[in-house]
Amino acid sequence: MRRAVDRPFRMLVFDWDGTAVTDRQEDPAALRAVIGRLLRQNVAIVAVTGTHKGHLERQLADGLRGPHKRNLYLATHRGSEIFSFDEEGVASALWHRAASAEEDRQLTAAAESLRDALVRRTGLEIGVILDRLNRRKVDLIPVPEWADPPKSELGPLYAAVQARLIGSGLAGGMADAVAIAALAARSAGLPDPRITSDGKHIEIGLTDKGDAVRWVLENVAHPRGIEPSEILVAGDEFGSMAGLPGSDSLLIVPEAQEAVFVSVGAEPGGVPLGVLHLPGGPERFRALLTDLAAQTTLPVSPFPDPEWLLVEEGFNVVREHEVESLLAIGNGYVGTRASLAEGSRLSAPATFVAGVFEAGNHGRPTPELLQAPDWLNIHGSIDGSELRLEPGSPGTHRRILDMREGILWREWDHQDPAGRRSRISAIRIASLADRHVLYQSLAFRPDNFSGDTALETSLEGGSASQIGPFDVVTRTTSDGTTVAFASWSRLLGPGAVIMHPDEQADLPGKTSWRFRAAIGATYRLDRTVVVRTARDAPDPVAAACGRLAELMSGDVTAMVGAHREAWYARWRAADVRIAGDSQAQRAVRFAGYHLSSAANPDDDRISIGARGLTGAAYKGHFFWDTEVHLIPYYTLTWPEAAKALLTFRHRTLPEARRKARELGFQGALYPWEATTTGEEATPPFALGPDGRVIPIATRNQAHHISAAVAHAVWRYWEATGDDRFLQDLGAEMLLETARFWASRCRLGQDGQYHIDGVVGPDEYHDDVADDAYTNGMAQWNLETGAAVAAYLADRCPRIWASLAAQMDLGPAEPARWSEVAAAMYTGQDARTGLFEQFRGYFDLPDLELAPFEERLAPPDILLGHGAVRHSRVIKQAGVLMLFFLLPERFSREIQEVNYGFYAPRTAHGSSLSPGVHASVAARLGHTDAALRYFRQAADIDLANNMGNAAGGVHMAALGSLWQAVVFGFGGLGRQGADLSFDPRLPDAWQSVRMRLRWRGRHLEAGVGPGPSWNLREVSP
Amino acid sequence: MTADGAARKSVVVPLDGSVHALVALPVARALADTLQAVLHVVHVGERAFPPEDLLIRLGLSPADAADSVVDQVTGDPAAGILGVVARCHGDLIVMCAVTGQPSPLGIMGPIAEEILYEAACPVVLVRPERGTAPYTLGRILLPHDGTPTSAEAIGPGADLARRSGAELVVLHVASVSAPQPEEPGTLTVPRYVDQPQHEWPAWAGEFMERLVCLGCLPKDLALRLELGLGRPGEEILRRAGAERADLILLAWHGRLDHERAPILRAVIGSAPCPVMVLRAAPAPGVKNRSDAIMKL
Repeated sequence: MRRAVDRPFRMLVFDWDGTAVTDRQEDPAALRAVIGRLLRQNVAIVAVTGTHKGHLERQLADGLRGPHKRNLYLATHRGSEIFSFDEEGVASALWHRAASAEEDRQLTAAAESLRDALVRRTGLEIGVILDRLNRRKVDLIPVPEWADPPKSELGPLYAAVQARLIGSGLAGGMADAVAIAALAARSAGLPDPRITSDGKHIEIGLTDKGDAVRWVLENVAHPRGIEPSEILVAGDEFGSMAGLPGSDSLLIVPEAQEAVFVSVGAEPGGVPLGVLHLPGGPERFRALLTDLAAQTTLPVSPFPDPEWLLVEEGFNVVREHEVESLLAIGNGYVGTRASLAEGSRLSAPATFVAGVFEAGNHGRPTPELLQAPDWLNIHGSIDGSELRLEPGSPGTHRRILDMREGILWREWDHQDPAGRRSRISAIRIASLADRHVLYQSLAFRPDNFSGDTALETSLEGGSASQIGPFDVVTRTTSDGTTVAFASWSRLLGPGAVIMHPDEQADLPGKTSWRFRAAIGATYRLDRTVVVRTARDAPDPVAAACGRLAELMSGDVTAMVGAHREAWYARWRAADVRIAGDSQAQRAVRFAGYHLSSAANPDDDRISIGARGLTGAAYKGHFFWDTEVHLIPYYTLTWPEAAKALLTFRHRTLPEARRKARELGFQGALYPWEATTTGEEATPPFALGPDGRVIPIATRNQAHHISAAVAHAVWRYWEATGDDRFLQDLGAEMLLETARFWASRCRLGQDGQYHIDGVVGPDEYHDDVADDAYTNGMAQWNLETGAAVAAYLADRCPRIWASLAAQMDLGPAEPARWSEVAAAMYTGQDARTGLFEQFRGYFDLPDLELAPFEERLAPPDILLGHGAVRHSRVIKQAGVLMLFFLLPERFSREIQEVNYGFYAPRTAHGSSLSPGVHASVAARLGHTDAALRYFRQAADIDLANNMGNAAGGVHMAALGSLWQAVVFGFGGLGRQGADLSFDPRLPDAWQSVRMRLRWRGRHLEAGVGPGPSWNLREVSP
Repeated sequence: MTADGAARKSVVVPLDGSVHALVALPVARALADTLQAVLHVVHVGERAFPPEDLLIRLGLSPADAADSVVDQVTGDPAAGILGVVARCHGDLIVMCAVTGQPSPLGIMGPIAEEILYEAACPVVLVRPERGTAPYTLGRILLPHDGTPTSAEAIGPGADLARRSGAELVVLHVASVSAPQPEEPGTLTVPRYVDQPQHEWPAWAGEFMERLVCLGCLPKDLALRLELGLGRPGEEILRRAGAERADLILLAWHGRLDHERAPILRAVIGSAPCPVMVLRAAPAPGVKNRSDAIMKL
């Protein structure tokens, strides 16, 4: 027989003394353990006590650790205070009822009046305790043997008090005393006195336990979407005693009527109607909680902090591709879009494995990320009616990306045409603790019916087989790389009973169940998938099945817990906290989430595609985006990931050398687009939307990527002091790129070096000469190459000798680099300080950009490429990008004058542009403009009416968001081994706190309020 | 009834005996043939005529009227036409755009304008300049602003394309002058074109997928996407001419007064081919831009 408590609850409110513990001396370790488990499941726990929080801290809170402690609330002083805990486990008051001086006086007067009345009528000694928050206690039995009665002695205590009062002439005993107390309180002027009794005392107060319940309902349950029916309220004194309502009956407030109330007390007078009586005291209470923690529900619940959540309410099928991208999960090894498990008319489910490319399709040679087998499919039906989401369906639907824990949530109240309601919740993770592991879990509960139910999981998109209990699907690319997905599905019924699959319906790649679902019962479908490829295992099928077998014998909750812990560790190293602007806060967290989801420090044979592993757009190709916009994040928060990405560029140096050679140059010229091979993957031309053939100039002209790689190498070395990396890998890249620029420059008749025939970041103007960004970065690359050569020759001559010999690099070559750098044409007008975007740019006419500001299309589309090409309108400002990457090389005045010139001429036709402008504008103190650019950059993915994100999130724009906060608003500067801060926060931002890694130390930089900043070392 | 037992569709063509009105007839007949529909010829006049006189009044030969149902209505013309449409469950009205006195807006006659406002089914408007030349349907131009409500409205036009085997050319116009639709789920030209070799195929794929999904377009439809630039009305007319389109499909939200529907007015006023106006649902409430940000 199922009881009302045999189901999951999302909030637990309970009286502490007598319900949870026998007395205040007890050390309830076992209870703490089970409460810890519930907290990790994100169940909100509210412990209620009549005393101060010290008791609860000592017996409960001090023994609990971890971020889940934020789910714990302490309601103290009979509803006068509510405390919660921050991420460090520090308690702070969420609410405090402060009595006015007049109320304090009234409370004291009432207590003394009650005491006097009782003394007058009984002649007994009656005590008064005045030093309590918002209440006064009148001691009805101030005798030594009843000085501190334990809860277990409540019955005898009541009897003794009654005997004392009645025997001394107070005929109604305690009931009369309570009536006198109420009269005294009102006579003292208290309009709404709360009269309670613990058996020994009568208390006159301003609040009671009911106030605590009301507060948590409004301020905890409601914001978390917890319905009263999802709350369990426990106590030990609901029933009346000696004619008085039990003290825990105050927990039954009208707002919580639909909650489940349970008493574990002796309740000699019985319990009120609606309260479930499970006698047994604290031991029974602990058993009850243990059962709750083991309910057949998902192994976690959503983390309640809205600043960590990205929520997609309802279902707008047309936005499905965008939503799938935004809410994608990933771990740098594998990424999966947030497609609905059952599919929809516009679902594009896709899973990508980093580094596994297929050589194009439809006869096109351009390689693209392989669409791996689809592991998301779960199909269900009730009495033949398919569980499917359609626009306009009744019921509610919500998808939540919990960025803090790397979990995609789904909550769906499904209602079919026959009125059958089911509650479905699901989670999905790509484990950050074991990157080969994917996991999804779906809990299904029929709310108002029992019915024949079918569930089926399937793996699709490859060659399917059955190996033992596992469904296995493999797919092999044209170059022979096999990808193996092994899946194990398990259905748990009520009581966590394993339900057997329908073997007759079992086909390779599919597992099915047919059962009669019972009303109110919860069924949970777990599916664990292990992914291995021939890139990381000689026999990927065996490796996947082997790992899956290990997981099968383990604990799913522990596996999910390890994933969550890995995410907490990532955020401890990388979180940025912005006080005063929740929109900006969530945007930068969104950036951090996808940046962390995209990298894998354990694989140095890959880089990160323009859309990460969140979508098929850009075919998974790697661009300069990685070095300019992503690696700065990793270098300063996850240097291991940065190192892996830079090592990839070292691995592909041979291809970069080959490309330089093919174009007639020396050194290393990295491809504009690359896959794992490092070969140039940019198509020579493309078809435009109007059918025009568009030559793709970047393939042979965007040479600035080589300097971007060199710059990322240098900044990594600067931030980590990783000499070994520099000596083994980094120096070679810095030197080969410098060598490229030396060969790429042409000495002009003016005695300066020029670079012709390039396209800079401003891709509206191709085949230009002396692009300011390209020349500026080349100059820096040449200088740095020479400096590194000198550094190595000086500090580690043997390594230098070996490297120089290997590169056939004589001493004259670095010296020439310095000469070329010194004579590099920069295009700067000495009179105005302006850099010319490229040679001849100043001769072009201006084009008014104002009419395009409200347009969602860039001007080169609206006006035509030709018109824009012959104007000063630029896609993104190369000059400002120089300031963005090398701020220490330019004075504030020079940056200011160029910002003033180029900002109004920049059309931001690139998603990389607004974030760069935000950084530069913030550094210059134009915080309003910087915030506008910041929000524009955030909107690239997060605005719901642009459709940009359908093919995946914009990784570079996300990286630029993080940089805008850290380098722009935070004003972080780097010079050698030193850090500096010159913060410029927008008015609305009260403070910014940034976690950073610098030279092996874990730091937190705090900026604001005001211009002050501080830096402290933190534990990892 | 059709062979499969379904009710036959109905195409209604109102005629008033004027030469202008007759331009609708070949178009209506061709569309009725394509839809395997019954053609209802409706005479609109101040009084009723004996059946034997009616064809003469309408300027029709007996061959013209073959396989058609001929009705006549008196009194208020628009109400009468709509009454016939209601009785025969009309799927389509085909009529000359400018019979009678031009409306104050000057792009169509008062009856056509009222029919356009009141009809629940699509209305095909034919300019008198087209004349009475035989009509065939080989290419249909579908200007699409990327809004979901417009996409959802194109079903009848897509059905026509599928039945006729006509090519459906989808035209999206990027414009400085047209207001940016704020309807949630709208997809217009990309704001950011980082790398055209990737961005355009991705955008085109997304644009067409959304259209196919919302418009419930059949998979075997011949579809092509074109991007136009400039003022949408002018660009649609230009493309319709350049593509030698036989029909323009326009989704319309039901407002035609000044400042509203400038594209519809421009196209109906000068279309080189018939225009099928498809009634789109009102756009759902569009909040200001900051509210349109995804809820975090």
